[in-house]
Amino acid sequence: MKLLGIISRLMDRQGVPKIAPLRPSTFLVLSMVVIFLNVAVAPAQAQTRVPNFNGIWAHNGFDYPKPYLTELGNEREARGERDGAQVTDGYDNAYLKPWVVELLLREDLAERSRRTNTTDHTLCYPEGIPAEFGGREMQMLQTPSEITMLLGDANHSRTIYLNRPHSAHVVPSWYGESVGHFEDESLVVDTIGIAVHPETVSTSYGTPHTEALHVVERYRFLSSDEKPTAPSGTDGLVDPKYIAAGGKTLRLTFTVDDSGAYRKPWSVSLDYLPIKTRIREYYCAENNRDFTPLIPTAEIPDF
Amino acid sequence: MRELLSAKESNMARFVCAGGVATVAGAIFILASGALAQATSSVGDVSGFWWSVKYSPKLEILGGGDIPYNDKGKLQYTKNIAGLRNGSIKDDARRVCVPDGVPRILGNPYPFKIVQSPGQITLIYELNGVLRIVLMDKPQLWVDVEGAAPYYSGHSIGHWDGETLVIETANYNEKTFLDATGAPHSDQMTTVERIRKINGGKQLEDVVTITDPLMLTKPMTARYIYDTHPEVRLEDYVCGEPHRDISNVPGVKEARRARVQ
Repeated sequence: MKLLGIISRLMDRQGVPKIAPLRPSTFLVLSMVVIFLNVAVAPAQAQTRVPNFNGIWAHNGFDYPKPYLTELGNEREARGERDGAQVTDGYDNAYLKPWVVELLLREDLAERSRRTNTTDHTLCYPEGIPAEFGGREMQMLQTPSEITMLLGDANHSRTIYLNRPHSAHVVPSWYGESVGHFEDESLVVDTIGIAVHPETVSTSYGTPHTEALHVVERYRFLSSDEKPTAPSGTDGLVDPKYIAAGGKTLRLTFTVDDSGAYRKPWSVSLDYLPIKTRIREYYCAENNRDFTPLIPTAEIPDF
Repeated sequence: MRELLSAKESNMARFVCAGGVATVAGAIFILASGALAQATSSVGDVSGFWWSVKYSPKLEILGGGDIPYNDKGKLQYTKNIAGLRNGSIKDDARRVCVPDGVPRILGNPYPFKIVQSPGQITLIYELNGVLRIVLMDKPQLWVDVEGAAPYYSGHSIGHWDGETLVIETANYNEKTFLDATGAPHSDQMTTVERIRKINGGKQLEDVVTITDPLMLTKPMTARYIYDTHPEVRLEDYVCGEPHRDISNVPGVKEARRARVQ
Protein backbone atom coordinates (compact mmCIF):
# COMPACT_ATOMS: atom_id res chain seq x y z
CA MET A 1 0.00 0.00 0.00
CA LYS A 2 2.90 2.31 0.73
CA LEU A 3 4.20 1.84 -2.79
CA LEU A 4 0.77 2.59 -4.18
CA GLY A 5 0.78 5.81 -2.23
CA ILE A 6 4.18 6.78 -3.60
CA ILE A 7 3.11 6.04 -7.17
CA SER A 8 -0.09 7.97 -6.63
CA ARG A 9 1.82 10.97 -5.29
CA LEU A 10 4.31 10.80 -8.16
CA MET A 11 1.47 10.86 -10.63
CA ASP A 12 -0.18 13.68 -8.81
CA ARG A 13 2.94 15.81 -8.74
CA GLN A 14 3.82 15.29 -12.34
CA GLY A 15 0.45 16.10 -13.86
CA VAL A 16 -0.53 15.24 -17.39
CA PRO A 17 1.71 17.51 -19.50
CA LYS A 18 4.94 16.34 -17.87
CA ILE A 19 3.89 12.74 -18.07
CA ALA A 20 3.42 12.62 -21.81
CA PRO A 21 7.13 12.30 -22.67
CA LEU A 22 7.50 9.20 -20.48
CA ARG A 23 8.12 6.04 -22.47
CA PRO A 24 5.26 3.55 -22.84
CA SER A 25 7.47 0.86 -21.30
CA THR A 26 7.59 2.89 -18.10
CA PHE A 27 3.82 2.95 -17.98
CA LEU A 28 3.68 -0.75 -18.60
CA VAL A 29 6.00 -1.43 -15.69
CA LEU A 30 4.08 0.92 -13.44
CA SER A 31 0.77 -0.60 -14.41
CA MET A 32 2.07 -4.12 -13.88
CA VAL A 33 3.24 -3.10 -10.41
CA VAL A 34 -0.19 -1.69 -9.71
CA ILE A 35 -1.97 -4.80 -10.94
CA PHE A 36 0.38 -7.02 -8.97
CA LEU A 37 -0.18 -5.00 -5.81
CA ASN A 38 -3.93 -5.15 -6.28
CA VAL A 39 -3.84 -8.90 -6.59
CA ALA A 40 -1.49 -9.22 -3.63
CA VAL A 41 -3.28 -6.78 -1.37
CA ALA A 42 -6.91 -7.65 -2.13
CA PRO A 43 -7.10 -10.94 -0.17
CA ALA A 44 -5.48 -9.33 2.86
CA GLN A 45 -8.07 -6.56 2.81
CA ALA A 46 -10.89 -9.07 2.52
CA GLN A 47 -9.74 -10.87 5.66
CA THR A 48 -9.42 -7.76 7.81
CA ARG A 49 -12.00 -5.27 6.68
CA VAL A 50 -11.07 -2.11 8.46
CA PRO A 51 -14.08 -0.10 9.53
CA ASN A 52 -13.82 3.66 9.41
CA PHE A 53 -14.42 5.13 12.85
CA ASN A 54 -13.49 8.69 11.92
CA GLY A 55 -15.98 11.05 13.45
CA ILE A 56 -17.25 12.75 16.55
CA TRP A 57 -19.21 10.51 18.88
CA ALA A 58 -21.39 11.16 21.90
CA HIS A 59 -23.13 8.92 24.40
CA ASN A 60 -25.82 9.53 26.93
CA GLY A 61 -24.65 11.98 29.54
CA PHE A 62 -26.31 10.19 32.45
CA ASP A 63 -26.42 6.55 31.60
CA TYR A 64 -23.37 4.95 33.10
CA PRO A 65 -24.23 1.36 33.97
CA LYS A 66 -21.84 0.09 36.60
CA PRO A 67 -21.74 -3.63 37.24
CA TYR A 68 -20.08 -3.02 40.58
CA LEU A 69 -23.08 -1.08 41.88
CA THR A 70 -26.12 -2.74 43.39
CA GLU A 71 -29.33 -2.74 41.37
CA LEU A 72 -30.67 0.17 43.41
CA GLY A 73 -27.45 2.07 42.91
CA ASN A 74 -27.68 1.67 39.15
CA GLU A 75 -31.32 2.79 39.14
CA ARG A 76 -30.43 5.92 41.05
CA GLU A 77 -27.55 6.59 38.68
CA ALA A 78 -29.83 6.19 35.67
CA ARG A 79 -32.35 8.61 37.20
CA GLY A 80 -29.59 11.11 37.78
CA GLU A 81 -30.25 11.13 41.52
CA ARG A 82 -26.85 12.30 42.51
CA ASP A 83 -25.67 15.27 44.46
CA GLY A 84 -22.17 15.05 43.17
CA ALA A 85 -19.91 12.75 41.31
CA GLN A 86 -21.22 9.58 42.85
CA VAL A 87 -23.80 9.02 45.54
CA THR A 88 -25.03 5.49 45.51
CA ASP A 89 -26.62 2.92 47.70
CA GLY A 90 -24.11 0.22 47.99
CA TYR A 91 -21.62 -1.72 46.01
CA ASP A 92 -21.76 -5.21 44.70
CA ASN A 93 -19.04 -6.97 46.59
CA ALA A 94 -18.88 -9.73 44.02
CA TYR A 95 -16.70 -7.37 42.03
CA LEU A 96 -14.88 -5.01 44.38
CA LYS A 97 -12.26 -5.85 46.95
CA PRO A 98 -12.98 -4.65 50.50
CA TRP A 99 -10.47 -1.78 50.42
CA VAL A 100 -12.11 -0.41 47.28
CA VAL A 101 -15.59 -0.61 48.81
CA GLU A 102 -14.34 1.11 51.94
CA LEU A 103 -12.82 3.94 49.94
CA LEU A 104 -15.92 4.43 47.79
CA LEU A 105 -18.19 4.46 50.84
CA ARG A 106 -16.00 7.06 52.46
CA GLU A 107 -16.42 9.27 49.40
CA ASP A 108 -20.17 8.76 49.40
CA LEU A 109 -20.32 9.85 53.01
CA ALA A 110 -18.36 12.93 52.07
CA GLU A 111 -20.85 13.67 49.31
CA ARG A 112 -23.83 13.24 51.60
CA SER A 113 -22.36 15.56 54.18
CA ARG A 114 -22.00 18.14 51.40
CA ARG A 115 -18.30 18.26 51.81
CA THR A 116 -16.42 18.83 48.63
CA ASN A 117 -15.24 15.57 47.24
CA THR A 118 -12.19 16.19 45.13
CA THR A 119 -11.40 13.80 42.31
CA ASP A 120 -9.02 13.84 39.41
CA HIS A 121 -11.87 15.37 37.43
CA THR A 122 -12.67 18.21 39.79
CA LEU A 123 -8.99 18.92 40.27
CA CYS A 124 -8.28 19.16 36.54
CA TYR A 125 -6.02 16.16 36.28
CA PRO A 126 -6.37 13.92 33.25
CA GLU A 127 -8.98 11.31 34.06
CA GLY A 128 -7.26 8.28 32.65
CA ILE A 129 -8.78 5.00 31.60
CA PRO A 130 -11.52 3.85 32.25
CA ALA A 131 -12.77 7.04 33.96
CA GLU A 132 -12.57 8.80 30.62
CA PHE A 133 -15.41 6.70 29.24
CA GLY A 134 -17.64 8.71 31.53
CA GLY A 135 -16.94 11.62 29.20
CA ARG A 136 -19.77 12.41 26.86
CA GLU A 137 -17.98 13.21 23.61
CA MET A 138 -14.95 11.87 21.82
CA GLN A 139 -13.54 12.11 18.35
CA MET A 140 -11.59 9.42 16.54
CA LEU A 141 -8.93 10.40 14.04
CA GLN A 142 -8.05 7.21 12.25
CA THR A 143 -4.96 6.59 10.17
CA PRO A 144 -3.46 3.24 9.11
CA SER A 145 -0.84 3.34 11.88
CA GLU A 146 -2.70 4.87 14.80
CA ILE A 147 -5.96 6.22 16.09
CA THR A 148 -5.90 9.50 17.95
CA MET A 149 -8.81 9.94 20.29
CA LEU A 150 -9.76 13.47 21.28
CA LEU A 151 -11.52 13.47 24.63
CA GLY A 152 -14.13 16.18 24.57
CA ASP A 153 -14.89 16.55 28.23
CA ALA A 154 -11.27 16.75 29.26
CA ASN A 155 -9.69 18.39 26.23
CA HIS A 156 -7.03 15.74 26.23
CA SER A 157 -6.05 13.18 23.67
CA ARG A 158 -4.78 9.63 23.71
CA THR A 159 -3.14 7.57 21.02
CA ILE A 160 -3.90 3.97 20.09
CA TYR A 161 -0.96 2.48 18.23
CA LEU A 162 -2.20 -0.03 15.67
CA ASN A 163 -0.77 -3.47 14.97
CA ARG A 164 2.09 -3.12 17.42
CA PRO A 165 2.87 -4.97 20.64
CA HIS A 166 3.14 -3.21 23.97
CA SER A 167 6.53 -1.77 24.87
CA ALA A 168 8.82 -4.05 26.84
CA HIS A 169 8.83 -1.54 29.69
CA VAL A 170 5.76 0.66 29.76
CA VAL A 171 6.26 3.98 31.52
CA PRO A 172 3.08 4.59 33.55
CA SER A 173 1.00 7.54 32.33
CA TRP A 174 -2.51 8.86 32.88
CA TYR A 175 -3.93 7.16 29.79
CA GLY A 176 -1.50 4.27 29.83
CA GLU A 177 -0.12 2.64 26.71
CA SER A 178 -2.80 1.61 24.22
CA VAL A 179 -2.22 -0.75 21.32
CA GLY A 180 -4.96 -1.81 18.94
CA HIS A 181 -5.87 -4.07 16.07
CA PHE A 182 -8.93 -4.87 14.00
CA GLU A 183 -10.70 -8.15 14.58
CA ASP A 184 -14.00 -9.18 12.99
CA GLU A 185 -14.76 -5.58 12.03
CA SER A 186 -14.11 -4.47 15.59
CA LEU A 187 -11.33 -2.29 16.87
CA VAL A 188 -9.75 -3.97 19.87
CA VAL A 189 -7.71 -1.73 22.16
CA ASP A 190 -5.51 -3.08 24.94
CA THR A 191 -4.33 -0.63 27.59
CA ILE A 192 -1.82 -1.15 30.40
CA GLY A 193 0.54 1.13 32.30
CA ILE A 194 -2.22 3.36 33.69
CA ALA A 195 -0.61 5.45 36.39
CA VAL A 196 -1.78 5.14 39.98
CA HIS A 197 -2.36 8.63 41.30
CA PRO A 198 -3.76 9.74 44.67
CA GLU A 199 -6.56 11.57 42.89
CA THR A 200 -7.57 8.64 40.70
CA VAL A 201 -10.75 7.75 42.51
CA SER A 202 -14.40 7.51 41.66
CA THR A 203 -15.65 9.66 38.86
CA SER A 204 -18.16 8.40 36.26
CA TYR A 205 -16.04 5.38 35.43
CA GLY A 206 -13.32 5.45 37.93
CA THR A 207 -12.76 3.30 40.89
CA PRO A 208 -9.50 3.09 42.73
CA HIS A 209 -7.07 0.88 40.89
CA THR A 210 -3.61 -0.57 41.19
CA GLU A 211 -0.72 -0.94 38.78
CA ALA A 212 -2.27 -4.21 37.62
CA LEU A 213 -5.11 -2.37 35.86
CA HIS A 214 -5.71 -3.76 32.39
CA VAL A 215 -8.49 -2.41 30.16
CA VAL A 216 -9.68 -3.88 26.88
CA GLU A 217 -11.97 -1.83 24.65
CA ARG A 218 -13.89 -3.17 21.66
CA TYR A 219 -15.51 -0.74 19.23
CA ARG A 220 -17.89 -1.87 16.48
CA PHE A 221 -20.84 -0.56 14.51
CA LEU A 222 -24.19 -2.04 15.46
CA SER A 223 -26.02 -3.87 12.69
CA SER A 224 -29.50 -2.67 11.73
CA ASP A 225 -31.23 -5.41 13.75
CA GLU A 226 -29.42 -4.61 17.00
CA LYS A 227 -31.13 -2.25 19.41
CA PRO A 228 -28.94 0.66 20.41
CA THR A 229 -28.91 2.23 23.84
CA ALA A 230 -27.55 5.48 22.49
CA PRO A 231 -28.96 8.81 23.62
CA SER A 232 -32.33 9.58 22.14
CA GLY A 233 -31.62 13.25 22.41
CA THR A 234 -34.27 13.81 25.05
CA ASP A 235 -32.27 12.33 27.87
CA GLY A 236 -28.69 12.85 28.81
CA LEU A 237 -26.91 15.91 27.65
CA VAL A 238 -26.72 15.54 23.88
CA ASP A 239 -28.77 18.21 22.16
CA PRO A 240 -30.86 16.39 19.50
CA LYS A 241 -30.08 19.02 16.91
CA TYR A 242 -26.45 17.97 16.98
CA ILE A 243 -27.09 14.27 16.40
CA ALA A 244 -26.26 13.34 12.80
CA ALA A 245 -29.37 11.78 11.25
CA GLY A 246 -29.08 8.27 9.88
CA GLY A 247 -25.62 7.67 11.32
CA LYS A 248 -24.45 4.30 12.53
CA THR A 249 -24.37 3.54 16.24
CA LEU A 250 -20.90 2.84 17.60
CA ARG A 251 -20.80 0.41 20.49
CA LEU A 252 -17.96 0.43 22.97
CA THR A 253 -17.68 -2.58 25.24
CA PHE A 254 -14.87 -2.30 27.72
CA THR A 255 -13.60 -4.79 30.25
CA VAL A 256 -11.72 -3.70 33.33
CA ASP A 257 -9.45 -6.16 35.05
CA ASP A 258 -7.34 -5.40 38.12
CA SER A 259 -6.42 -8.23 40.44
CA GLY A 260 -5.35 -5.66 43.03
CA ALA A 261 -8.74 -3.92 43.22
CA TYR A 262 -11.39 -6.24 41.79
CA ARG A 263 -12.42 -9.78 42.65
CA LYS A 264 -13.26 -10.35 38.99
CA PRO A 265 -13.28 -8.28 35.79
CA TRP A 266 -16.29 -6.16 34.97
CA SER A 267 -17.58 -5.05 31.56
CA VAL A 268 -19.78 -2.25 30.34
CA SER A 269 -21.31 -1.39 26.96
CA LEU A 270 -21.88 2.20 25.89
CA ASP A 271 -23.47 3.27 22.61
CA TYR A 272 -22.29 6.37 20.79
CA LEU A 273 -24.07 8.30 18.06
CA PRO A 274 -22.33 10.53 15.52
CA ILE A 275 -22.76 14.22 16.22
CA LYS A 276 -22.43 17.21 13.94
CA THR A 277 -20.81 19.57 16.39
CA ARG A 278 -17.15 19.38 17.23
CA ILE A 279 -14.89 18.98 20.20
CA ARG A 280 -14.87 22.37 21.84
CA GLU A 281 -12.09 23.99 23.76
CA TYR A 282 -12.52 23.33 27.45
CA TYR A 283 -9.97 24.05 30.11
CA CYS A 284 -10.71 22.80 33.55
CA ALA A 285 -8.21 25.11 35.27
CA GLU A 286 -10.27 27.99 33.95
CA ASN A 287 -13.42 26.85 35.72
CA ASN A 288 -12.23 25.17 38.84
CA ARG A 289 -10.35 28.00 40.48
CA ASP A 290 -12.18 27.21 43.72
CA PHE A 291 -9.83 24.32 44.11
CA THR A 292 -6.70 26.41 43.74
CA PRO A 293 -4.04 25.56 44.81
CA LEU A 294 -5.08 21.91 44.54
CA ILE A 295 -5.29 22.01 40.76
CA PRO A 296 -2.05 21.16 38.94
CA THR A 297 0.12 24.21 39.46
CA ALA A 298 3.74 24.91 38.61
CA GLU A 299 5.19 27.24 41.23
CA ILE A 300 8.30 27.56 39.10
CA PRO A 301 7.66 28.00 35.37
CA ASP A 302 8.86 25.07 33.29
CA PHE A 303 10.77 27.24 30.81
CA MET B 1 -12.55 18.34 -1.36
CA ARG B 2 -14.59 15.89 -3.46
CA GLU B 3 -14.02 18.04 -6.49
CA LEU B 4 -10.30 17.93 -5.89
CA LEU B 5 -10.41 14.19 -5.62
CA SER B 6 -12.40 13.83 -8.83
CA ALA B 7 -9.93 16.02 -10.66
CA LYS B 8 -7.08 13.90 -9.37
CA GLU B 9 -8.72 10.66 -10.37
CA SER B 10 -9.48 12.13 -13.75
CA ASN B 11 -5.82 13.06 -14.13
CA MET B 12 -4.77 9.56 -13.21
CA ALA B 13 -7.08 8.06 -15.79
CA ARG B 14 -5.75 10.35 -18.48
CA PHE B 15 -2.24 9.56 -17.39
CA VAL B 16 -2.66 5.83 -17.73
CA CYS B 17 -4.55 6.09 -21.01
CA ALA B 18 -1.92 8.44 -22.42
CA GLY B 19 0.67 5.75 -21.88
CA GLY B 20 -1.19 3.47 -24.21
CA VAL B 21 -1.80 0.87 -21.53
CA ALA B 22 -5.19 -0.86 -21.48
CA THR B 23 -7.89 1.27 -19.89
CA VAL B 24 -8.66 -1.61 -17.54
CA ALA B 25 -5.35 -0.97 -15.80
CA GLY B 26 -6.45 2.59 -15.20
CA ALA B 27 -9.74 1.37 -13.80
CA ILE B 28 -7.96 -0.97 -11.44
CA PHE B 29 -5.69 1.84 -10.37
CA ILE B 30 -8.62 4.09 -9.63
CA LEU B 31 -10.26 1.34 -7.60
CA ALA B 32 -7.05 0.87 -5.67
CA SER B 33 -6.67 4.57 -5.11
CA GLY B 34 -10.15 4.62 -3.59
CA ALA B 35 -8.66 3.05 -0.50
CA LEU B 36 -6.11 5.82 -0.43
CA ALA B 37 -8.64 8.57 -1.01
CA GLN B 38 -8.60 9.43 2.65
CA ALA B 39 -4.86 9.91 2.70
CA THR B 40 -4.51 11.68 -0.62
CA SER B 41 -7.62 13.84 -0.72
CA SER B 42 -5.62 16.68 0.80
CA VAL B 43 -3.32 18.51 -1.55
CA GLY B 44 -0.45 18.63 0.92
CA ASP B 45 0.75 16.51 3.79
CA VAL B 46 2.01 18.14 6.96
CA SER B 47 1.08 15.27 9.26
CA GLY B 48 3.56 13.79 11.68
CA PHE B 49 5.54 14.68 14.79
CA TRP B 50 7.36 18.00 14.85
CA TRP B 51 9.62 19.74 17.33
CA SER B 52 10.70 23.38 17.37
CA VAL B 53 14.38 23.87 16.52
CA LYS B 54 14.68 26.56 19.21
CA TYR B 55 12.88 28.46 21.93
CA SER B 56 12.78 32.22 22.42
CA PRO B 57 10.92 33.90 25.28
CA LYS B 58 10.55 36.97 23.09
CA LEU B 59 8.51 37.05 19.89
CA GLU B 60 10.99 37.29 17.03
CA ILE B 61 9.51 39.28 14.21
CA LEU B 62 10.58 38.45 10.70
CA GLY B 63 12.98 41.19 9.62
CA GLY B 64 13.77 42.14 13.21
CA GLY B 65 12.56 45.08 15.28
CA ASP B 66 10.00 45.50 18.04
CA ILE B 67 6.33 44.58 17.99
CA PRO B 68 4.58 47.48 16.16
CA TYR B 69 2.31 48.41 19.06
CA ASN B 70 0.11 51.48 18.99
CA ASP B 71 -0.19 53.60 22.14
CA LYS B 72 -2.79 51.30 23.67
CA GLY B 73 -0.60 48.27 22.95
CA LYS B 74 2.50 49.93 24.39
CA LEU B 75 0.68 50.89 27.58
CA GLN B 76 -0.68 47.38 28.06
CA TYR B 77 2.72 45.84 27.38
CA THR B 78 4.32 48.05 30.03
CA LYS B 79 1.60 47.06 32.51
CA ASN B 80 2.03 43.37 31.73
CA ILE B 81 5.81 43.46 32.17
CA ALA B 82 5.46 45.22 35.52
CA GLY B 83 2.61 42.93 36.62
CA LEU B 84 4.50 39.75 35.77
CA ARG B 85 7.49 41.09 37.68
CA ASN B 86 5.62 42.02 40.85
CA GLY B 87 3.28 39.02 40.71
CA SER B 88 0.03 40.94 40.25
CA ILE B 89 -0.33 39.31 36.83
CA LYS B 90 0.11 35.54 36.56
CA ASP B 91 1.40 33.71 33.54
CA ASP B 92 -1.36 31.08 33.70
CA ALA B 93 -0.09 29.16 30.68
CA ARG B 94 3.02 28.24 32.69
CA ARG B 95 1.38 28.19 36.13
CA VAL B 96 -1.88 26.26 35.66
CA CYS B 97 -1.42 24.91 32.14
CA VAL B 98 -4.09 26.81 30.23
CA PRO B 99 -3.25 27.13 26.51
CA ASP B 100 -0.54 29.51 25.29
CA GLY B 101 -2.59 30.71 22.33
CA VAL B 102 -1.15 31.74 18.97
CA PRO B 103 1.63 32.67 18.30
CA ARG B 104 3.15 31.74 21.67
CA ILE B 105 2.30 28.05 21.31
CA LEU B 106 4.07 27.96 17.94
CA GLY B 107 7.50 28.46 19.50
CA ASN B 108 7.11 26.15 22.49
CA PRO B 109 9.99 23.73 23.11
CA TYR B 110 7.91 20.51 23.33
CA PRO B 111 6.97 18.26 20.39
CA PHE B 112 3.55 18.29 18.77
CA LYS B 113 1.62 16.12 16.37
CA ILE B 114 -0.41 17.03 13.29
CA VAL B 115 -3.17 14.63 12.24
CA GLN B 116 -4.96 14.97 8.90
CA SER B 117 -8.40 13.41 8.72
CA PRO B 118 -11.36 14.04 6.41
CA GLY B 119 -12.44 17.66 6.78
CA GLN B 120 -10.19 18.38 9.73
CA ILE B 121 -6.59 18.95 10.63
CA THR B 122 -5.75 18.63 14.29
CA LEU B 123 -2.66 19.98 16.00
CA ILE B 124 -1.97 18.22 19.28
CA TYR B 125 0.66 19.83 21.47
CA GLU B 126 2.38 17.95 24.25
CA LEU B 127 2.64 21.25 26.14
CA ASN B 128 -0.51 21.53 28.28
CA GLY B 129 -2.12 18.89 26.04
CA VAL B 130 -3.42 21.69 23.85
CA LEU B 131 -5.71 20.74 20.95
CA ARG B 132 -6.10 23.00 17.95
CA ILE B 133 -8.87 21.89 15.63
CA VAL B 134 -8.80 23.26 12.09
CA LEU B 135 -11.96 22.74 10.06
CA MET B 136 -11.05 22.46 6.39
CA ASP B 137 -12.80 24.32 3.61
CA LYS B 138 -15.45 25.72 5.91
CA PRO B 139 -16.50 29.31 6.44
CA GLN B 140 -16.00 30.82 9.88
CA LEU B 141 -19.81 30.91 10.31
CA TRP B 142 -20.18 28.10 12.78
CA VAL B 143 -18.93 30.30 15.59
CA ASP B 144 -22.21 32.19 15.46
CA VAL B 145 -24.23 29.04 14.88
CA GLU B 146 -22.91 27.38 17.99
CA GLY B 147 -22.69 30.57 19.97
CA ALA B 148 -19.30 29.46 21.17
CA ALA B 149 -17.22 31.67 23.40
CA PRO B 150 -13.82 32.92 22.25
CA TYR B 151 -11.11 30.34 22.73
CA TYR B 152 -7.54 30.51 23.95
CA SER B 153 -6.58 28.96 20.63
CA GLY B 154 -9.28 30.81 18.69
CA HIS B 155 -11.47 29.25 16.03
CA SER B 156 -9.52 27.95 13.07
CA ILE B 157 -10.47 27.19 9.50
CA GLY B 158 -8.06 25.95 6.88
CA HIS B 159 -7.48 25.32 3.21
CA TRP B 160 -4.67 24.16 0.97
CA ASP B 161 -2.75 26.55 -1.22
CA GLY B 162 -0.82 24.02 -3.28
CA GLU B 163 1.11 22.00 -0.71
CA THR B 164 0.89 24.77 1.88
CA LEU B 165 -1.70 24.52 4.64
CA VAL B 166 -3.25 27.90 5.34
CA ILE B 167 -4.88 28.29 8.77
CA GLU B 168 -6.96 31.37 9.46
CA THR B 169 -7.88 31.96 13.07
CA ALA B 170 -10.16 34.47 14.75
CA ASN B 171 -12.22 34.63 17.95
CA TYR B 172 -9.28 34.55 20.32
CA ASN B 173 -9.88 35.45 23.93
CA GLU B 174 -7.72 38.12 25.56
CA LYS B 175 -6.21 35.86 28.19
CA THR B 176 -3.02 34.88 26.40
CA PHE B 177 0.26 36.65 25.72
CA LEU B 178 2.02 36.73 22.37
CA ASP B 179 5.18 35.54 24.10
CA ALA B 180 6.73 34.85 27.50
CA THR B 181 7.56 38.53 28.06
CA GLY B 182 3.86 39.32 28.40
CA ALA B 183 3.32 40.94 24.99
CA PRO B 184 -0.44 41.63 24.81
CA HIS B 185 -3.07 41.32 22.10
CA SER B 186 -6.77 42.13 21.93
CA ASP B 187 -9.70 39.84 21.19
CA GLN B 188 -9.76 41.40 17.73
CA MET B 189 -6.49 39.70 16.83
CA THR B 190 -6.55 37.43 13.80
CA THR B 191 -3.78 35.19 12.53
CA VAL B 192 -2.98 33.55 9.22
CA GLU B 193 -0.52 30.68 9.29
CA ARG B 194 1.13 29.22 6.23
CA ILE B 195 2.49 25.78 7.05
CA ARG B 196 4.57 23.71 4.66
CA LYS B 197 7.31 21.14 4.59
CA ILE B 198 10.77 22.36 3.72
CA ASN B 199 14.20 20.74 3.25
CA GLY B 200 12.72 17.69 1.58
CA GLY B 201 10.24 17.09 4.37
CA LYS B 202 12.84 17.06 7.13
CA GLN B 203 11.48 20.30 8.49
CA LEU B 204 8.20 22.13 8.78
CA GLU B 205 7.80 25.87 8.48
CA ASP B 206 4.98 27.94 9.99
CA VAL B 207 4.92 31.57 8.89
CA VAL B 208 2.30 33.42 10.92
CA THR B 209 0.98 36.87 10.16
CA ILE B 210 -0.64 38.59 13.12
CA THR B 211 -3.15 41.39 12.70
CA ASP B 212 -4.66 43.31 15.60
CA PRO B 213 -6.37 46.61 14.79
CA LEU B 214 -6.74 47.49 18.49
CA MET B 215 -3.11 47.01 19.48
CA LEU B 216 -0.86 46.98 16.41
CA THR B 217 -0.14 49.76 13.91
CA LYS B 218 0.43 47.17 11.18
CA PRO B 219 0.42 43.39 10.74
CA MET B 220 3.59 41.54 11.74
CA THR B 221 5.02 38.20 10.70
CA ALA B 222 7.01 35.54 12.56
CA ARG B 223 8.53 32.30 11.31
CA TYR B 224 8.84 29.03 13.21
CA ILE B 225 10.83 25.99 12.09
CA TYR B 226 10.32 22.43 13.33
CA ASP B 227 12.34 19.25 12.82
CA THR B 228 10.59 16.02 11.98
CA HIS B 229 10.60 13.52 14.86
CA PRO B 230 8.82 10.35 13.75
CA GLU B 231 10.15 8.50 16.82
CA VAL B 232 8.29 10.73 19.27
CA ARG B 233 5.31 9.62 21.32
CA LEU B 234 3.46 12.41 23.04
CA GLU B 235 3.73 12.25 26.82
CA ASP B 236 1.60 13.51 29.69
CA TYR B 237 1.97 17.16 30.50
CA VAL B 238 0.48 18.19 33.84
CA CYS B 239 1.57 21.43 35.51
CA GLY B 240 3.82 20.85 38.49
CA GLU B 241 4.66 17.25 37.51
CA PRO B 242 7.91 16.10 35.90
CA HIS B 243 8.04 16.37 32.10
CA ARG B 244 10.36 15.18 29.38
CA ASP B 245 13.83 16.73 29.23
CA ILE B 246 13.84 19.71 26.88
CA SER B 247 17.11 21.23 28.05
CA ASN B 248 18.72 20.41 24.70
CA VAL B 249 16.32 22.64 22.79
CA PRO B 250 18.38 25.77 22.05
CA GLY B 251 17.15 28.68 24.14
CA VAL B 252 15.57 26.67 26.96
CA LYS B 253 18.58 26.67 29.30
CA GLU B 254 19.04 30.39 28.74
CA ALA B 255 15.36 31.08 29.42
CA ARG B 256 15.43 29.02 32.63
CA ARG B 257 18.60 30.77 33.77
CA ALA B 258 17.12 34.19 33.05
CA ARG B 259 14.03 33.37 35.14
CA VAL B 260 16.16 32.49 38.15
CA GLN B 261 18.05 35.77 38.00
